[in-house]
Amino acid sequence: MLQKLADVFHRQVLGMNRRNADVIYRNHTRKDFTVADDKVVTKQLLEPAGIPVPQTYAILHEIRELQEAWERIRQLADLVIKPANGRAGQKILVLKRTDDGWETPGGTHYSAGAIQRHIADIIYGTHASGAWDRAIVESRVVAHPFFRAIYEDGLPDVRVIAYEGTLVQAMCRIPTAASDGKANLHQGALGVRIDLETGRLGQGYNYEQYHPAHPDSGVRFAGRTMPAWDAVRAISLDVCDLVPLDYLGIDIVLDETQGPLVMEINARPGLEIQNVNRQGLREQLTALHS
Amino acid sequence: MSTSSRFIRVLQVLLLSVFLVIVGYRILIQDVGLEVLTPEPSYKVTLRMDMTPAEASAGAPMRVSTYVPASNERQRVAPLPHQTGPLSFEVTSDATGRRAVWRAEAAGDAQEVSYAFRVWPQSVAYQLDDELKRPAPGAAPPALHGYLRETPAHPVGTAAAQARYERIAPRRTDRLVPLLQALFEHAASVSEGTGTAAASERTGAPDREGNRWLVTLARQAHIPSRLVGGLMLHDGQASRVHQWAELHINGHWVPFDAAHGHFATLPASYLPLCRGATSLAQSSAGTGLKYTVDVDQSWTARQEMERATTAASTATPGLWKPLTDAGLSLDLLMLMLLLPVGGSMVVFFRNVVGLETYGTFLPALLAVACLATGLLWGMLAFLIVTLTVAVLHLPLERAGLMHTPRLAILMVCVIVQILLTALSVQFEWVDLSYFILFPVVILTSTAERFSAHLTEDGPAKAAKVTLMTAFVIACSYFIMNFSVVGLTLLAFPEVLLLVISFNVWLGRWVGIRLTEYTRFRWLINRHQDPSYATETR
Ligand SMILES: Nc1ncnc2c1ncn2[C@@H]1O[C@H](COP(=O)(O)OP(=O)(O)O)[C@@H](O)[C@H]1O
Ligand SMILES: [Mg+2]
Repeated sequence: MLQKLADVFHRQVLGMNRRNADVIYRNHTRKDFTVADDKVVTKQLLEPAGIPVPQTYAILHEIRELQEAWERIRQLADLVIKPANGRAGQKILVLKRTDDGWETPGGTHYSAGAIQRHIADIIYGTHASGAWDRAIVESRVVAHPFFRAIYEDGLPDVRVIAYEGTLVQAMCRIPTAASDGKANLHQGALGVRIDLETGRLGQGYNYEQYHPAHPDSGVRFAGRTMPAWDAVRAISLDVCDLVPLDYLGIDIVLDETQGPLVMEINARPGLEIQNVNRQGLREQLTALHS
Repeated sequence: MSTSSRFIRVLQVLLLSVFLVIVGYRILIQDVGLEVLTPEPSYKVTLRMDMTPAEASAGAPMRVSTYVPASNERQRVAPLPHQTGPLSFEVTSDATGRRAVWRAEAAGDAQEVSYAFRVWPQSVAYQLDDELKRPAPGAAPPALHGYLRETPAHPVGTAAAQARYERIAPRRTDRLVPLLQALFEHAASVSEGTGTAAASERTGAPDREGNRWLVTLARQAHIPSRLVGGLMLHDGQASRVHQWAELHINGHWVPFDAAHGHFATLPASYLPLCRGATSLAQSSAGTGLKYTVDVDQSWTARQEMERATTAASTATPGLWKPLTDAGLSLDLLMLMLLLPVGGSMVVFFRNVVGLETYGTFLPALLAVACLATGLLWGMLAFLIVTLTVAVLHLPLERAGLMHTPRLAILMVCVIVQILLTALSVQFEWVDLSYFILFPVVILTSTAERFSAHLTEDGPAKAAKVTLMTAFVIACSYFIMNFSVVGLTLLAFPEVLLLVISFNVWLGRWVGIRLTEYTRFRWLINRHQDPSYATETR
């Protein structure tokens, strides 16, 4: 038993300390990280290279650009506004057109003034840095029917972990009632194993147990195969080629019409995926690095 | 071995050897002693008197007094602010001791006065030379003749006293020590006989009889002797009024307490206040008096005592003098030196144990603030601040306010909240600016952190991090609150080199955090899980 524990924790599991010291920050300068940390930079890198991303409508650097940009923004039916330097879904506004304005998927009404205030709030500073930021206005991604059949609300995404140009592990994150439509594991979303080779879904993990079916809708997902899996893999490998980081978390969403789109790149992806896949990252990374 | 790990090794060796060289130099050459680090008890004592003038004496002059201690070789006394109300106050001295006296021209309503001081007592023990002889009659100098006389409390020379003395004094020896032992044993047995609960209840002075007889019999043996009244200090309200004996032997007043078996010794907890068989507090006729003693014990090192009187301590000759001369208090200096220690504790909890906290230095700063205010009040303030933020967070966010103005509003509310708490709870404000500004600055930045966590991670996670932060604060507080730690830093600031070395080690440590053993427990049985195996094949 002890032998087994030692094997799991000293050979298989990648812990936070080792991730930080040996995997993320080794061999990299601060500048390398902006590619992942700043969503504007990410888009400017990926878009010209032909990697599919949500269409960019506007990027606002300063408050005085708002007036001119607004003329274009107000024409849009659906849109998403988010900060370049946000994290954990902070300050992200997903909007749909209504008769007298816009509303969020949750049903909160937004007037033109409220949207402009939100943009100003983004530009005036974030929690993370306290510095000024930029606001991105982009097209709204609508979940693919494959995922909508499993659970109606929110936008599921696929997280692929890559190391030194090789894909290592993957999972998808499916919102639940507990996560309030968000695809974040620690907010209550379900992390579902994806078999890297085939794109088949496995069990879903939510910190407490493993589920073969969605806890709210009851729809069984284990054993189903992701659509467009080969495209997801190809896109992930292309991202690895472009981004100057050894270790990456690539977040890809599946749009109902456009297919896979890169939503963001993470330079410090969480370690929870090891629990989802029940496989330690350390042994995989060691094998790749030697 | 990579160049960077070689560099680390060299750095560690360098840090340790520089540390050893400095410490070695200071201990061996500069002769800095380690005894400065030994803590000693000190007591903050409050003598409180409640007076209730009788109806009949209304309008007559009123007077109340209590004996108070003075500094001497065995104890250092620092007076603290006392409370006199509308009465006049003075301190007088006479043969029986120093007295604090309060007076009013005309007795009015009930009054409460108090006298407070901090005392650093030491225990004393006398070695009595076996060769000492019993004193001959009339050998005592005239100044001490008063201590040989018969008094109502000490019936020296009466037939009863004489008979008792004849019965117990050893014959066939002219040495002093056997005689003292015999008298002491007898007095102890008297104490045992009268020191019953019932007797204590009745006289209000337990086991006083034995020491009274010790004095009487010593006088019978021509040894000048007297009763001493004082307190047996105990933390809280458990202190007792007590009387013991002092015998003048070989030029010294040597203490004895037959009731508690202290032969020529006096424990540190004994605080002598007056000489003779008088009561510790007195009031003018017609005034009812209730006398209570409050004691707050703390462990401070000798250096504290030094510090109370002189700015430069013996332990750090001249080391901090430029700073203290410039007006920096040693207290503040110690807090500053403690901060990196607290910070390292937090790093340890984060990286090795795996707890999450608000930032790295915030918990350390909060722990240091707790050192200044006390853990209870510090924690209370921390909880109040987080609660205030938690309650205001949602309405402010709903109102659609932008982040930074929202923080400013939070700050106003937090400060008002802290002030309200400070007003409603009665504190002893020693120095308001020091006690309040420092924590307020830290607490408002706590508010900012907490509000960020609420937005980013939601209330459940934020509450969890709050609890872990509180836990880490408490742990760092307990380590830093050991006076030895602070004093070691003051006396040997080069210990900070060890702190750096510890953090260099932490900075290279890539092991599994303690909490990760439960976090990744799911990986232990990955192959045995049947459902998993069937799903993925
Ligand atoms: N273009 C978009 N269309 C629809 N939803 C979006 C869009 N952009 C972001 N979101 C929503 O916001 C969440 C977080 O977005 P992301 O770009 O990953 O930012 P963060 O760094 O804060 O996680 C996504 O999981 C999704 O639910
Ligand atoms: Mg994301």
